[in-house]
Amino acid sequence: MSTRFKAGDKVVVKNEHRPGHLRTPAYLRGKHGVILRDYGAWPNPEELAYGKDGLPAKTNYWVQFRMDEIWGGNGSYGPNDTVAAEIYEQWLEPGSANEGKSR
Amino acid sequence: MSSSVSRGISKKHAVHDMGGEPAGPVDTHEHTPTLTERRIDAMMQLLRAQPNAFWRTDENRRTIEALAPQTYMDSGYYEKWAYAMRGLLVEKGVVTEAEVAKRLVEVKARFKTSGKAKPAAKAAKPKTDKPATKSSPAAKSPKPKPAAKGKAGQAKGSKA
Repeated sequence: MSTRFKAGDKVVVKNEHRPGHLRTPAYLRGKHGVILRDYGAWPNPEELAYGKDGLPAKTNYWVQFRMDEIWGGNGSYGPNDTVAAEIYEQWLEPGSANEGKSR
Repeated sequence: MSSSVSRGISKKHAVHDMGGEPAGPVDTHEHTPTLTERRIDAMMQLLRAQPNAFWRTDENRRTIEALAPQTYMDSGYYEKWAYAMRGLLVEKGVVTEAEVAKRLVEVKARFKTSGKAKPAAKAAKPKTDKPATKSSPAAKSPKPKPAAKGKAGQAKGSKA
């Protein structure tokens, strides 16, 4: 599988809301993150969930987000408060350095 | 940029996808699994045993996530598993809705005559409230009765 992103890359999670078995929590959709790790390619669980073979495999990434952006910047979180989640490649797009009001 | 007050998430997501929802404290107490829970666990282990597993864990999750929101919220961990097993066994053609419904009638009758319902009746009960509808049973499951006097007060395993 081609690896689209590498550690340190900025990404943005697709802001898609649709029915079905989705492997990305709603609170992270549309949010900006940084790739921490590449976990390798796995049969796509969003396809496996419907009895399919999940191929081609999708790369799963460990992505870090800033709490401040996720929860609306209400002042409760500092710039170093983060949360990380596993996000499959089909949910990720390249994010530019300026997006997501960096710090 | 989305800086709405609490979270910029509308109700467009499924019931299980509740990260960030207002919620009370999480009860992290352990509880001894009830007989019913053990049975459900055993059935799941058998149905998913390799090499002839009937379904994958992802299918299990998908089925549970498709439960009616109220059913999802009202059901404990293993109750959700019971719903998933029922739904997937039918979906995979292992049993038919009619067979399940017929069997449950028999089971209920047996409990009635035996005097007191065993815990197993609890998991079975909600499913017979409504006759089997043919389209995706999991998506619109009948609303469960509020747990029959669970024998262990906290029969609802709230751990996910």
